[in-house]
Amino acid sequence: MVSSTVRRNVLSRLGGTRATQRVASPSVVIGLGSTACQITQHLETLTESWSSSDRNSLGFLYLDTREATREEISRASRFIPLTLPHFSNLRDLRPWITECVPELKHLSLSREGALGMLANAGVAARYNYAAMRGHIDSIISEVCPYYEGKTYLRAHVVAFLGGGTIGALPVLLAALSEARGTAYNFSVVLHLLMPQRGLSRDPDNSYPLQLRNTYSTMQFLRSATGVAAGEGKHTGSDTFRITVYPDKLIEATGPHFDIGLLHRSPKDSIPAQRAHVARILENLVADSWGSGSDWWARYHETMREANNRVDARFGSISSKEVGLLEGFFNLTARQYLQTKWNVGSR
Amino acid sequence: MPNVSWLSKKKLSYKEESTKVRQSIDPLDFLAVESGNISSRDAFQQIHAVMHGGLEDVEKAIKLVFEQLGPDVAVADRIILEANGEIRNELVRASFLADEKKDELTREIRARLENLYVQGLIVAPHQDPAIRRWENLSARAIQRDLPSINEYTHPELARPEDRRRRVPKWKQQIDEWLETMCRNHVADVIKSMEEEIKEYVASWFEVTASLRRRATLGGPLFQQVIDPDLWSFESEDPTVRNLLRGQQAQSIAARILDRFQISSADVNEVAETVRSSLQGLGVYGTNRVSTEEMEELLALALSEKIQDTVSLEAGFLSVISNGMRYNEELGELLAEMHRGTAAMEQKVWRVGEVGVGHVDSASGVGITASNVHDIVVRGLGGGRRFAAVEGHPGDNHRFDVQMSIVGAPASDLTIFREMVTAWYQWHFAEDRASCTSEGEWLQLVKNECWKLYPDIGTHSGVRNAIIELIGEDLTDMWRSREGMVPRHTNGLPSEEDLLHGLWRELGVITNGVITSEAKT
Repeated sequence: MVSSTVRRNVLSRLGGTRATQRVASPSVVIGLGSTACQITQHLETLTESWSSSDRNSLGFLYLDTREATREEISRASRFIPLTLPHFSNLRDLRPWITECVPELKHLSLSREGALGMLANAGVAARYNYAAMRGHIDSIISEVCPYYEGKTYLRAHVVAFLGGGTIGALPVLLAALSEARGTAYNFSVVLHLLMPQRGLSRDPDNSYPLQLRNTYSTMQFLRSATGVAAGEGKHTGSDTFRITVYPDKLIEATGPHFDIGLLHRSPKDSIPAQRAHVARILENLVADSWGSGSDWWARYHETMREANNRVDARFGSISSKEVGLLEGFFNLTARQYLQTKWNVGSR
Repeated sequence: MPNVSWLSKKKLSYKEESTKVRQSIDPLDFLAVESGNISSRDAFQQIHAVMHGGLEDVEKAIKLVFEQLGPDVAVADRIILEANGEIRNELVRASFLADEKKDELTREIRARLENLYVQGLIVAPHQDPAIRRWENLSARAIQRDLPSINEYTHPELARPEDRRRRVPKWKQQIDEWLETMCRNHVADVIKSMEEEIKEYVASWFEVTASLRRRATLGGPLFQQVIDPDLWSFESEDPTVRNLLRGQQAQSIAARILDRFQISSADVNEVAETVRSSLQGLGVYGTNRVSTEEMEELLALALSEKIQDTVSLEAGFLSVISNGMRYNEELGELLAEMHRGTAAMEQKVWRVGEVGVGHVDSASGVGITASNVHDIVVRGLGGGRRFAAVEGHPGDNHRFDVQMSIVGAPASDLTIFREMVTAWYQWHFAEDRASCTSEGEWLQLVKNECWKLYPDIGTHSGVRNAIIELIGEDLTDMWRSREGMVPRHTNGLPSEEDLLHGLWRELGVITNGVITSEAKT
């Protein structure tokens, strides 16, 4: 067998002659947090070999509390740092901050790593709200130029549920909700990465904290869909309000997302997780080709059948798993050639 | 005899030849595999026709100049003065256009021959290349020297009687010049084609011999195909698993190939794919692609064709569905496929009342034998209820991997319980466990509980909604048989009471309704 590098080179060359349109609906992929930014970056690399019209229909945005992520991504201009200025510079803004975080005195304003508290990234996202809105607006008008008659797009938000940066998700959803209020009509797909014991650096201590963050975020997402629970005094509304810097109150009206997909890595390793989630994202972003088109067809079919908004928010996934059989068919073709070329078999 | 001598001395005429050349949609169709009825004369005339086609504009322009010089009309001096120059210009243009056509044809011939060469490797690697038929086409193409043309000045053409006498002669000279030039270019094209064919044939014998060596006993290709271990490769992608392995994969490949018929259009397409993927590197000749790479490219392009022929949706299972142990093999395969899917652990979250859950399945639709279903369920460890195999009214075998979340209960997802427990235990863990009074505990937790909420406003936001949802989940869990793990209370009230106290403090629960429900 030839080496994988040769195979990849040959495949990419052959790929050129089989240029297919992959993207029908323009998409914006937003990575929230270090893990998600790496996955988004991986996806961006995967799509580099796509045709230019496909690539023009894709936009990537990176949000992280970790400044080092900026160095890791290919287009640093699409990076929004979720960091607060030094505490001493925030004194004038205390009324604003205390309004959104009454517990400011407990809030550590330094970054707290993957298990950082949800509030930290939440406040930072509120502080950088204008940048977030600006980036989202410009990226949407880039991938989906309305003067070409395109007004529909999909926003894929990728986030690790167990991290601290997930705390910025409500702010991001509010920004998307505001952007949706413009000339564009888009659906939001949430790609949520589940914490896994084996992937956790400290399974005994940090894993429970990851689960705790996951649970809180899940509850937030449930409540943001307007589900009524318990006494129903505070639930049952899909609109929430968030104060952002300097003193603007955002009324984030729902529906905030159309589908939430939970991803678990098949192996407890970061590269496997990245490859796995990026591959699924690649399929879903390529909605006019391969298993992506199949998935969206099924999704829309389900949406048509659904008779209420809550029921409509689920999907079923299908995949032809052609990738599983690629090597098999390659060897079958070799067998074909072998019988043709072998004098003895004739 | 006199006739023959007259023929040999007959001068070439562009005008006359224009009526004789063989027009065709594809002037190089004689190179194609099925070109049996095209004679060498036809082939020559087709190339000739291309040259004539390229010179149409020049011919018209020259005709116009001569029309203006008619002896019976008044001709301006300027036209007479410029006539010679114009004719010269047109002849230069004719040479240029013919050169261009020649290059175009030469390039196209190379491409055609390369395509034919690859086709030959797939379809008839043991035959002499049919292209040898055109090895001696140059016998028809004789190159001649270009005839000389008179150059007339103004005084020689000024009077009508001079023009009546000289213009027809001039015309005839140019006609002959054009045709000679055309034929010389045709001869060049044919010569270069013959050179290509020579290279083609030389490479053909070298390459096919080497391919035969690779494909016969002991050759690398033979080893690859025969060794079952090599049919058990693993993908670099950790999430992809090869389901067809070893001898089973070999026998299925053999069944697929039994049914595989490649059409001539497909062969052409495969050859074109391979050729264009080489991006300029020659298929034959001294600087040609290596045999290994050619084999690799052919295998990749053919595998696409085989996949297209054996459609995964419509025919794959029926291809496998042969032999004595068909049902068992199929059942095992489906169970394997299901495990492959489950290994991906991709779950879909349904938001709303139902909570969370997932079901994933690989199904072979159209399989009506009930024992296949048993084999699959047994293979997966029994207790799982999903539609791995279902009948299809059309009896059309399909392969389908799908994941859905229809109606899955929350208990399906054990991680859900772990998450609730983690959230719950945070309230009583670490230093909070050392609190001695309820007030102390309340104060401590209240100060830190903002860490739990992604949305952190007290008045705006959805914190209270989150607490309501959590309250409901916890109530369900307290009620359930497993319950929450009891903890040492350290003389404080029960954990439920503590939590409800906290929520009352936060203003979420005021009348204790949940508390009383939970205790019933």
